[in-house]
Amino acid sequence: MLDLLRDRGVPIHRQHFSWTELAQPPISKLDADAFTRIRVILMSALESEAVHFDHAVARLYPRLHRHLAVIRRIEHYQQTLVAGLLPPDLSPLETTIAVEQAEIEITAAVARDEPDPSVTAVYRFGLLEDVDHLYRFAALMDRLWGQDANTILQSYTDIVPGRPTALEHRHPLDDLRHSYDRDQADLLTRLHALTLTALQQHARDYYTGIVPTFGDPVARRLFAEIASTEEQHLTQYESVMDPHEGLLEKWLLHEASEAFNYWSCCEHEQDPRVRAIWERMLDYELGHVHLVAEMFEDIEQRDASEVLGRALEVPLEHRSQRDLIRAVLRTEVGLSAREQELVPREHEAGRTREQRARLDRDDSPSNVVAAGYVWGPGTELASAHPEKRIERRQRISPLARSEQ
Amino acid sequence: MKVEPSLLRDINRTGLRSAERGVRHDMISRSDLDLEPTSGAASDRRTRIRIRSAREGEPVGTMPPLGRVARELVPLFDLLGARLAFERAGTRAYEALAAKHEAYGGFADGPSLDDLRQLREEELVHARMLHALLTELGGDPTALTPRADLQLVGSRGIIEVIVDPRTSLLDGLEAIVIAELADHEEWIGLIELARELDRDDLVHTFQTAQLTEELHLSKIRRWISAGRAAAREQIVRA
Repeated sequence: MLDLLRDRGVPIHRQHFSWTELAQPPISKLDADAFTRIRVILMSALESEAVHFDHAVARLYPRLHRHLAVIRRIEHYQQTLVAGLLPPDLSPLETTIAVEQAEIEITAAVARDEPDPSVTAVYRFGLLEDVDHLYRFAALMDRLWGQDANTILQSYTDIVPGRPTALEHRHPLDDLRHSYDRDQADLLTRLHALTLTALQQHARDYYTGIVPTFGDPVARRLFAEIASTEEQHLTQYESVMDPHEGLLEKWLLHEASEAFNYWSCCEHEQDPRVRAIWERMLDYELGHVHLVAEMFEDIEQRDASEVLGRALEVPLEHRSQRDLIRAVLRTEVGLSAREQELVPREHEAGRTREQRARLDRDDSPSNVVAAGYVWGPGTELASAHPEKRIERRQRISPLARSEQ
Repeated sequence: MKVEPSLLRDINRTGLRSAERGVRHDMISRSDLDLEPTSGAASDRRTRIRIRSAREGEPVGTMPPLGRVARELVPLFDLLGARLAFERAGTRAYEALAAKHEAYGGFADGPSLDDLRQLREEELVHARMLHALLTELGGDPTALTPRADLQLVGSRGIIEVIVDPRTSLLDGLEAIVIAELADHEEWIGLIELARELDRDDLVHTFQTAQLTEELHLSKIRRWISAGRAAAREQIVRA
């Protein structure tokens, strides 16, 4: 159980790092469990979100300048330490596969535990789009470098088409959703929304950053296309959060979401060295929660327990959510969105269709890269019956046929 | 010698066999989903984009200013620029290999620390010779030529393997042999070009450098072979 207001962690003045601690030996690409890598990506994303949020607040709220400067530096070091656990032999494309796996498995776990059904629907909607991104990137990896994406996924996550990426591009106004009500929402709902927002922001930042590292023109276009959908997801999940939450309330929730996720990491981590890192980071985050809670009470004249009142009993599950993902794939792949509602694709707004037609004017990179692609163990080159593969290429999902 | 990775087994999780039976089955069998590719038929569209982009594309870059240098000499400057960049990178690579030797020690019939330092010195001598030659011929040794750029892109992975603290001296030698093989080819190319240009002075200079590089190659091949034997012995003794 995690009681954010009772567990005090390490006070700010005792949170220190050395350069050696900030650049620790990395985890092994070959030997570490894929979920350890997922945790590294998830927590880098949350730390990155924390730093960006703290900067934005500092620009709007001069009264908090000094406290923000102190906490932000620690968050920066936390991000450096955690992100540095990824090994140098993990290429940008392999990291991309790992980022998509993190998005899929964490979104599915969040959708499983989310108490608000309307918010759950939004997560299930986004989930199928991430499933498809993984499939497209796996095809790119296979067809560019002859590499099997499952060496990264370790069989935890299916490589299958989801909602086709080419059909995901919507008008910005069709990517906004209904937000939860801060007075009614469960604490878990608020922490979940921040978790997924952070993860999508991280993917968006990562993809836009690595586009220049690819020589292949199709790879560059695919990253441009999928980075765009990550921006859509970021817009979508961000809009789930109640915009009426005050700055300090949001700051408090940021610290709480980091603590909640580090706690979930501690509960699942099998690697003792990495677990010790999660435990230390959890203690640091609890220290942040307490400092921000004091400021919240002082400035807002509200009790922090109004926001973080109840203890968290169950950590976020870090294990393959294959069954849930397959269930959503069977039933919700034909959805799209119009204004703030999820609707069948035939009810999409004209503006969304126009936007998509403009983007796909020359070609759809995600369709090009995965034309006829069926993942098989050891890459598609290992297929014993290439003629069957060709035959399958002629059978295209009815979902996308109209787009060809 | 660093622990031979072959002695540590059954921890690697990348293959299907590492997954639990049920998970493995689920990964391979997706029959209940019946999901087909959502785009198809025109699987050569990727190639078409590649071809079209290649036709429309600009080169990675152009040659730096060369003053009054004759047109037919320009390719020579590009190749010399590439060698200069490569020999400088080689100097740094041998420094990193020497550090590995200090960290883990050598192996029977492998390189001594002095051997690696000597190779480093010889790479440096080549780099300085090329720097001086480029200046003498009217080029700019501080510029990055297109071929130099591409060869550095090609050798990026080699350097990464060598500087990674997790790799052994043998791993480093196996990486640097790729660079030495390429270097060998490039010096031969330079000799051919100098002959075509009737520059006997350059032919002589390049041949001297090429002989040194050939010696590097044969030493490294011998050390790799010794390193693999030492690794086998480590496995037998374990």
